[in-house]
Amino acid sequence: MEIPESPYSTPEVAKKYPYIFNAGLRTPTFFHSAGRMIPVLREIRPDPIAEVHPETAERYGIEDGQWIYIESPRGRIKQRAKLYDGIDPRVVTSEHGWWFPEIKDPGHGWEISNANILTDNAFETCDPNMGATNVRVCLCNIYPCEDK
Amino acid sequence: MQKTSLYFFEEDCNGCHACEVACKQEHGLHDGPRLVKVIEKSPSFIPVYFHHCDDPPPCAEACPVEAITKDDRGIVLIDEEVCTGCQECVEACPYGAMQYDEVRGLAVKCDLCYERLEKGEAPACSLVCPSHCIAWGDPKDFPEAAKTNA
Repeated sequence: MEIPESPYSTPEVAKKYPYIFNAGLRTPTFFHSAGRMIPVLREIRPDPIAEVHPETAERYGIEDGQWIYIESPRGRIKQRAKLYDGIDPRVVTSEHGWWFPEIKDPGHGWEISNANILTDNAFETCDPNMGATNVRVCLCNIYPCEDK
Repeated sequence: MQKTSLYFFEEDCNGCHACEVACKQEHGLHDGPRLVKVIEKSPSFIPVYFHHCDDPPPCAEACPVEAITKDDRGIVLIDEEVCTGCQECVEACPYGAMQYDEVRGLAVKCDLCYERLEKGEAPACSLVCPSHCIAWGDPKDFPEAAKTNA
């Protein structure tokens, strides 16, 4: 079945948020949100990564490795763009579970880059058959950050 | 003695960075010096291995206390007892192979896991690579498809 928020399910939302956000990008260095405080791992992968198709990136003047904002109807996060032509140009994929142990407040900057800000995480949009939560996919818009 | 070098199959690298972590563990390194590095240049992953230059290696020439030597296997080694941490070799190396360990105040570089080789064991990076893209041996036995650091 079609997901609750998509260009087909919610075309009016897609006018402002034209890209399909997928928080399913997995990179092997960390395990989900764990290990961000381990210095040798952060040295390898210091920042959260979002994959953007080069054609999409060109439209917004986004360069490889640049910080970008990803915005959905529920909020905005920032991640570093990795230009990748192995995805559909309409899709933006990102890592999930990011927090920053070096930020010494109780939330450790969880709201800066965490994909859960974007997804709706609501019981209304759970899969009607299985009850699975909708925590991966939604619609989004992207644009470059002022600070590269 | 038989020459020893690492060689790798770049197209098989999946970007897991396990080699980097294993290297740090084997050499007791913290964050900072990186003796092996996998560069992510979409869609490729490029493992950057550090060279053991032909004689005379520029690092050895630059070293004012002659702490750097090339052994009969072709491995460029730093004598940590002699190294003063002056970083002249770091400046001289054209490949970024010479790294500086701020904690111990010494130069460090890939030693091909010399102690493991002595015991007939594989270098740590080669051992942990899940896609078997890092191999080691005599450069004259390298397969055509492999890129070498020799």
